[in-house]
Amino acid sequence: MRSDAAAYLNEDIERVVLVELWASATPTEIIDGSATGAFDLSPFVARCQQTENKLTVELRYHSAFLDCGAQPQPGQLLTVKTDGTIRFAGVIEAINQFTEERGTRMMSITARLRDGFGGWKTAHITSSVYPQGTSYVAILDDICGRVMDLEDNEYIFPQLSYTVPHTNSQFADETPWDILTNVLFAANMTPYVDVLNRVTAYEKSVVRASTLSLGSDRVIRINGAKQTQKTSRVRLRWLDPELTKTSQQDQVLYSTAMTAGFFNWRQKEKTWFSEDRTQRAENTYMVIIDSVNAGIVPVADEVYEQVTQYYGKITLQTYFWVPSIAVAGLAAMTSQALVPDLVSTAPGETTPVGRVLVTAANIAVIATMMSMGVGRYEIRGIPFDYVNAKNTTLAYADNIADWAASEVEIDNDLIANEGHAQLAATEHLIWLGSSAYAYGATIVDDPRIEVGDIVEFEDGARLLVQSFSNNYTRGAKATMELNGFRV
Amino acid sequence: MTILSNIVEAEVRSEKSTLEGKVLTRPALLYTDGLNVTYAVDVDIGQEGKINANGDIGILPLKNVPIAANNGELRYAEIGQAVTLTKNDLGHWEVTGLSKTMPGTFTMVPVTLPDYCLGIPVPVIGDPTELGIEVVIMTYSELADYGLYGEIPYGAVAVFENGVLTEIRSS
Repeated sequence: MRSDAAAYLNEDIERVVLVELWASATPTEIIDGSATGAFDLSPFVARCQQTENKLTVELRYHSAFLDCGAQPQPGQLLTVKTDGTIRFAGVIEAINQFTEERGTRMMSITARLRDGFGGWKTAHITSSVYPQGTSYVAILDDICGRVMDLEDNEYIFPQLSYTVPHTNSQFADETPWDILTNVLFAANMTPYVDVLNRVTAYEKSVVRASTLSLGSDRVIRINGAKQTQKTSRVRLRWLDPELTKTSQQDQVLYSTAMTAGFFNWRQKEKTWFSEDRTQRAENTYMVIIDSVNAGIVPVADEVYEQVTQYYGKITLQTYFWVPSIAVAGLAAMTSQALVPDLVSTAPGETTPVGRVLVTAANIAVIATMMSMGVGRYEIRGIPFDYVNAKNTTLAYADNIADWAASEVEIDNDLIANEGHAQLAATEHLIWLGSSAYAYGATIVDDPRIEVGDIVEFEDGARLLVQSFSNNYTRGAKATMELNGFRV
Repeated sequence: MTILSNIVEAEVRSEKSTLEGKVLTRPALLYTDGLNVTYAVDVDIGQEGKINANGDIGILPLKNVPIAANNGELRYAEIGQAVTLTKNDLGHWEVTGLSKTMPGTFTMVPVTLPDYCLGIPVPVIGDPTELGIEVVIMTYSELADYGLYGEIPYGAVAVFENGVLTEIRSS
């Protein structure tokens, strides 16, 4: 509801209507009241009517108007004021017709609010990246200010407590209006452009308090209609910010062959769970296909441990005695080589005492060298990964037959959790469902009323305003048509 | 939004050529010509429907979806995995690869829309119902809880429907 305007007392009050053409002013100057250079079209206005986001003005004039160089042009700004209050500030979309009769010329001008132009709803854009925790208002500011190049006072949004739930969010290949709609959907709001040509939003809740109440003296006529529910299901699909763990079957993740022996105290090998080293796994264990200890003499301990989610480690720890015996054997060979053989004084055989000792040392060394083993190992485990779950929240009207149900499907990744999703889906369903009960009223002109307001009448009936129309033609009654639905 | 625009949106959605799903079963042999084999799995695609004559609503998985694979490389289509389904020229869905998203929770919230006859209409929001099929490999603790230890082999999977254990599959 506008706070800068006041309601008219009754329909018979004559409103002072001022229709102005702004050849060089900008929308931001119109909003802050600093615009200059208006050309007053009011004397030429034969008919002036506002419907939804459009203004139609019919001008009748003589040649003097054409000659003065103030002929309206598409793209120029057009405003309507009643008693100093701006009632419409739009952009001329078209000069629909020039008609010339004897002595009189006529033209019809169509002006629209900002959302009536293509850039909002046809151009597809890619937004900035919005990190986790970015306020929805910051996104709206970015789209309106940076992308659509609006000045600060050309958009106005309420403070919203919602923030981006994902690590990073970016809108791609969407129109700016769709982005605004998506962001505001998650905040249970919907965007619109007010009569000052500012981009703004209203709350969709139909159970909120009434914006203003009108006594019966201010209501001239009320009309309504009913129809079947156009929408009875809202299917909201949203990306769960919490990653979901998905596990696969127990399987072989790595296989290798390793050799252990006297030549090395310890053998180590990293066992990555995938060649690209990105696979996570848990509950991993080693299966010994062939052991290094399968020979005559056991030579090493075979140990496996998982180090991180991505790899483990196989360690072959050679028994301490294996290299010890090898070294000792070599030392024995060297020392025993000095032991002489016994030579008999009588002709005969030499007793090979030294060679026996050397041979014994050789056997020890050779036995040690034979104590080598080749093992084959498999690392098995359960690979897992984290994926995003796409959750579904379905709000449905339980008093509508299945065959009559009509569904709206919405994808929105700005939903933070299940509670948030249920709130958004049910509010949207109730909002759409309520629109089946069209409701309208003709009231004494009230410039305070805006789209999204809930107007309460004396009998308790409430109207959520979706649009309004007004006739500013000279001599017209000071009335206003409200259209919307009953809530 | 008019019914016409709803129908148009539904038409656009029906043109989808890929789906994301969650594998619910181990690959099972679907058919073979003696040389090549084709395996199939059941896939949860997050769609609900009536699951019995009483009209109870539950998740309806796609049954026997063939897995596109060669060399018997079926590991990617294991239980619980997020997979991508592609519609082939005949309009049949087949599992063609992995996915980074998959169907998650499914919650239904009943709303009684008012009839606006008398008084102030107040919509009534009912209690939400959570649907969904969860398939997980059973932990040691669950193996002990749901059967004598050792009776159910390690690696068995538990199927939870709407949060309730309904089935244990060991093969």
